[in-house]
Amino acid sequence: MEPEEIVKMAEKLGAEEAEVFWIKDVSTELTVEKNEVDFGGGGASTGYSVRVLKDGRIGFSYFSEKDVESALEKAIKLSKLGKKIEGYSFLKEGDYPVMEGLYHDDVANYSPEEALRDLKEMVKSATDYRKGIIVPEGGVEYGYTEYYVYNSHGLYVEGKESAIGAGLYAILDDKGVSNGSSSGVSHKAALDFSAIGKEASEIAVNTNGASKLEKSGKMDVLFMRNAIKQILEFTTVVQLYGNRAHRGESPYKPDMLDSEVAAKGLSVYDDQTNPQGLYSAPSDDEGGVSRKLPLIENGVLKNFMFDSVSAKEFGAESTGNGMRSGPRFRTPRDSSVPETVSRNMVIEFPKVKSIDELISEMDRGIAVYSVLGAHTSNAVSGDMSMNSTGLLYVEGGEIKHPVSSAMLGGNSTELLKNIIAIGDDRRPMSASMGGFSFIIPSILVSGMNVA
Amino acid sequence: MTKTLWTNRKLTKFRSRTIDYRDTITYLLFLYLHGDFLEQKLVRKALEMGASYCDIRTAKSSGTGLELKDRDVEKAQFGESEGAGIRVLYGGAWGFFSTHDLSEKAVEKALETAFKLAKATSKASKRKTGLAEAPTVDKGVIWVPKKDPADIDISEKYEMIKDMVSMAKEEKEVKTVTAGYADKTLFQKFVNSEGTDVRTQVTRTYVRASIVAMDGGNISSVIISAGGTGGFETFDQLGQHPLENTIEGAKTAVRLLHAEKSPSGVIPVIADQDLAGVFAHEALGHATEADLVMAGDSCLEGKIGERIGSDIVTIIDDPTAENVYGSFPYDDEGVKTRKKVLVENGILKTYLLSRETAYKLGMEPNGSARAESIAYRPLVRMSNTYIKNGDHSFEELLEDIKFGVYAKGSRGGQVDTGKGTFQFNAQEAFLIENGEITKPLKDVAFGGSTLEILKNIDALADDFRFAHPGSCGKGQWVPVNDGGPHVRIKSANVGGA
Repeated sequence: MEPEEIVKMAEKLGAEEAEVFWIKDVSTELTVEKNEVDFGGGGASTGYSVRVLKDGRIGFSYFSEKDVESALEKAIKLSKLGKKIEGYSFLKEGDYPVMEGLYHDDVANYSPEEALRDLKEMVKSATDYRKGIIVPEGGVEYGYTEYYVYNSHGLYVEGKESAIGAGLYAILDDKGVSNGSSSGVSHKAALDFSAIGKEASEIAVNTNGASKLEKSGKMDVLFMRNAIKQILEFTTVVQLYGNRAHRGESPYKPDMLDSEVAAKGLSVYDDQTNPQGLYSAPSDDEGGVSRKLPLIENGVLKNFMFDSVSAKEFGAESTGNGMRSGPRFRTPRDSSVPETVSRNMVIEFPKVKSIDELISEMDRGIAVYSVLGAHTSNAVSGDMSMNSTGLLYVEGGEIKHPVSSAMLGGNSTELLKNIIAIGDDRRPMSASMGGFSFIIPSILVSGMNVA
Repeated sequence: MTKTLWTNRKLTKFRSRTIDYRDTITYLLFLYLHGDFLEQKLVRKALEMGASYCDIRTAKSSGTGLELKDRDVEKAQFGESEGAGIRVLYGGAWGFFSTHDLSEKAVEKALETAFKLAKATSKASKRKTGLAEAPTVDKGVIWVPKKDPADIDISEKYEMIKDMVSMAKEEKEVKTVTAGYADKTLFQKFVNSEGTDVRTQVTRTYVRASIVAMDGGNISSVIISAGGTGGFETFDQLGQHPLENTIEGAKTAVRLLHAEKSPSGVIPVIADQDLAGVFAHEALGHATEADLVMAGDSCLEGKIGERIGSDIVTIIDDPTAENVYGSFPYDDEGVKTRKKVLVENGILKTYLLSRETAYKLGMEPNGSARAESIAYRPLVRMSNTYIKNGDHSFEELLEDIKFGVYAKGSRGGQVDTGKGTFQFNAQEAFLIENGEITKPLKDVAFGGSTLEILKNIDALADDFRFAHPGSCGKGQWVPVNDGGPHVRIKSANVGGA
């Protein structure tokens, strides 16, 4: 059914305005269990959802093509309960950026045979790295997504992107059990599969033969890419959502805009048009124009993220963050209403060094590959306490030994103030709970509580 | 394969619940809507193509959702979806493909794609897989809600969460409350090439609230949830009352405002029912999932029959528990679910097994294959995982502790099943001094080795209850619950922020 027809039907049934979102997603994955290929699977899905506006209130439903009319009726009925948003209207068509490099035919039409070849290469590179390494699980996934948004104002925007991702997990049972993981993701067929396999094994080998942490207290911490991602995902990212800031659910308050909140030189962007970004597209999921949004620039708080509804509510403008998949629980994009969700978080800092150089600058501290429990952080206050079992003890600029387990405590806002330098290993990564992505490097910070 | 008629099926009822006329009609309609022909035809076709096995899961779901932020409805939504997922075994390897288009053409194309994937995988793999034997089933099961959310007007659902917001706001420090309501009814049909045809209908009803309190510069937040399988009657169960939980949650949030930082070190810990449940699920439960065991990613590999915990510890996974959120009648490989004793008096008894993992391990499947939806292949998953009740009073657990922590609820947990380590952050905690609960603590985390903690459990109270409904993520999300009595751990690694 054409979007114009759905919107017309909604208007005929009593909606003042209506908006249709359509998405098609095709993906295939090949996976490995304990060093051997064990599964090939995939799926094709398409779905519609509609928002209707009546008396300043919004109703929502999602449906398959055969039940359009009843779905629209239900959305209109539900709108009676919706909160009244004075002066709200769906977005008007904007000046959408032309996005190149997001869709590649060769990725969308990748074959299972090609993916199996890549997968085997990745696993071989991991197991060849050192005798005794096993790969409990790993996989290569490829496919493409297409979407459009259409509404009563005649707004129409569409996008299409391909993606290929690969990741694996390596275990070494030698002097105790250690593990490592690595992944990569790209819009084009340009992943280095053996580098991914090698990196996972390297981490497992580096952290094997761990002993207890002798010293505790405040120290420098080098958070490797994957560890800092886990931390930012549940703290900084959500703390910069406009609705949370305005409701007092974030350590960042609206009156802190234009004031210093992080280390001088630190910039945090939601870069919605970055060609490497997994959530790059001409628009967000409600037709908001994509942009490179400065959140923190040179240590100064510049913007919060907004979808169109929360923007109206708090006297702001949409920032291209109306996305249809909540950060906490992955839901299909067609079955959720647009909410404020980050897209591609990018961190920039003037002092960039290689990982080896960063370690050589550490007087006393730890280098952390992964953390457990980052998702239990308190986003409201920024307080966090985590456990890590994949880490190294560093003293006098040298790695002394792997550490069996450490508790890490601190506050996410302090962490951003205490950044010393960043690594040169920036890479796109998806959030562990899905829904948005990062293009970030490893980060060296001072003053974390380690025990 | 012969076509099976609905008249051959037994309508089973869940425990004491009866099936009334309307539900029978629903059921017949369900059978009619899905036809009997397409799936049977396709699994036959898969065999003709050379597959050794094929199964098709067809599902239809519908549900309502509401979210209230303070006084305002943020979200009001209704949704329906449908689709089919097809799994094919060819040459000892799996292929799978799903579609949300139930037209014959689309489902047939999905079968062909699944077959192609199985063929490619089979060619690339040296290791061959299969399925352990399971009885052929021809059955329909409806878990009929006593108070069906489909019969309850949306305004009543709205009133319930509105009351939750008002109750939380009785505490003057509570500033923001977000309350959510969701119900979902899932019809699912499982047909395989061995002649199994299982049709189930399960409803889940759920509320959740996030409560934020503030006082000066202090901020605290607490999340509560309640619900189960069934309709509004699930809220009548012990510990699942939306308003009581909200009031408790609001009080906790206020207490946390002025709570002190946690002591750190290796000290005794008493975990309440919620935290004991999280331990049973995260630390022990995940490591018993046979797919992780097979992959070499479980600290419990090769330990069946061995002592892994103190002799008072019995841990159970029970998907048949009435009205509990993680329950389901048949798994996603068509195997009837059952109660599994994972650990009995400290001895590891079994793993959670699907037909596939049971085949590889030479064991018997126990109905633990679950998929998030038809768009995913089944994995080995938990349901309702809990520590069995003990025989002490809560006071007896306290009295021997000179200095320790009483930790309640969980803000979440995470586990490394291979290393056997875990990390949980308690929702709230109290200091125990000389056998008495003294002051409130905040940001208490405890972590360590699963096997060490299991051995350090030295007393269980007699106050078992199920904890609160939640979702468990393992690449796919599934509804689960957990629980236990108050549990005393004689020493654990406690830390704070």
